[in-house]
Amino acid sequence: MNQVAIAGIGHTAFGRLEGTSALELEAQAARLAVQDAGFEPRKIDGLITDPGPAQGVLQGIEPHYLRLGRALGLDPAFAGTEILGGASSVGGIQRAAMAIEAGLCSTCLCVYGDTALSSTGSFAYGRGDEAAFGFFGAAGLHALAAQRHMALYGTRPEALAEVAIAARAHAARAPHAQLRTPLDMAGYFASRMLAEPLRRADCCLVSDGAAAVVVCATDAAGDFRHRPARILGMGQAHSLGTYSNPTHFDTLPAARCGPAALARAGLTAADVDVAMLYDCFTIVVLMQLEAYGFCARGESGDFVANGRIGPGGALAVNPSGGLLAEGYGGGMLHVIEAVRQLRGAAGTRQIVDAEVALVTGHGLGMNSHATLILGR
Amino acid sequence: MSREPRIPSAASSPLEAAACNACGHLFLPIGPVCPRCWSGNVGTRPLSGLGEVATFTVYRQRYRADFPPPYVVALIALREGPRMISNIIDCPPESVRVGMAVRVRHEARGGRLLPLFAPAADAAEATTAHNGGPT
Repeated sequence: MNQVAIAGIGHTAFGRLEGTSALELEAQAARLAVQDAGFEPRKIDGLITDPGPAQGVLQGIEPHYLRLGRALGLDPAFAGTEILGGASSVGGIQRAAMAIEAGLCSTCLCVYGDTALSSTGSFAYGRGDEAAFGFFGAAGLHALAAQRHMALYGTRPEALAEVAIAARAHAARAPHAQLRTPLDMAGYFASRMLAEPLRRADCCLVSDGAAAVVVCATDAAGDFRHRPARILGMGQAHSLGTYSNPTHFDTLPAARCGPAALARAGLTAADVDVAMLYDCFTIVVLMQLEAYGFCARGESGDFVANGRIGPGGALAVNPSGGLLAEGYGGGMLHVIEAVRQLRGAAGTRQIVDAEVALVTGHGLGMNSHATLILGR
Repeated sequence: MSREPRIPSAASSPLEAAACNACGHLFLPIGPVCPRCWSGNVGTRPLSGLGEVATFTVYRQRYRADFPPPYVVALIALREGPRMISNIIDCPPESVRVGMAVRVRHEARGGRLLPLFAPAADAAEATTAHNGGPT
């Protein structure tokens, strides 16, 4: 699949952006991404949107793509809103790529935006009847996976800490990151316990901000401002049976779609130069390292020890800091950092000769996973 | 009757699961069709109420006024196969372990009878093939 690429990237500031609507932020990110591609807005004939956790819940039934498309004055050939939770940004780019390959559109704008930090106080909603047991929030759900991992494999809390510490060390080199103060082991263990074994430091940030990319056919090339990041492979897998799936907390659906997507691109985990792993919680990074084959199942704790996924480590995981430190960008900031790295435009955090980038999305609890493999 | 997935009816203890009359599959939550063979011929069957902790978390953060921490949310692997979310009660949260044998104990909460689980040291043989974690 070498005919589709990401030609433009753009994002707003991330953090607390009081007084700015999500729609304003999304329009700003869209303008930046289209400018970055060197395109005129009228060239956009596709629109896929991801309204983020707060807008997705709060803004009712009017579809997000309709609101944003109206604001941008678009009458595209192809449009929609992707609803896969944290897998929506990657899933949306997949949908754009498929539409372009099928000839439904040629230049698709994919936008994430939300004002999750300034517009709502809590994401600790219960899931249906499970709220009757006090089972609230995504942290509690992922704590079940973390506890299971510890019981099955002897994984220690220090492994979770390594993921959080690495994210903060990476973010210190990303000028736009929301949380750039360093974290050490003592700081991690001083972090407030939320749902054992997960602490505040294991959780992603909550952010206001928007991020966008332009996906297009590479045969429209020639007039790209930057070297496009080609889509080499992609995949999705879901565990919709949830608890009735006996491996639901033992592994991620990524174990099915990850290696398959890499294989379709003629690659393995060993070929990945930059791993942009969806990191809503530290445990999800550990489980993805196993699912994608960076290490064997149960061995992610050893894999991340001693800063091996931090700056200068054996594997560059989320060099911009990810959801844990760069900001909650729904996954679109992960895509953007992958493109920057492949362009050689990542400044002081540039991974030398980065040729292959893996970008993942993980959504709706442990239910859905999406994989995108980008190359130069 | 309601075909929406729901907490197993606890009004009539013991705990029960959905049972497919076509293929025999037992499942939770109760739903409109058998998730294995898609038959709509689904009834219910009482369970032993025994199981083990597949995984758990101790909530330390207060999310709601009516759920003061600490309390334990667990995924229970029932002896007959189905798995369900519930609470572990009647023991210190620090004593809960993956693989621990538990037995259902219904409790009234919020105007309904909920299936909660308490340690069942006498039922260690409840351990099923659905779990295998060292503790």
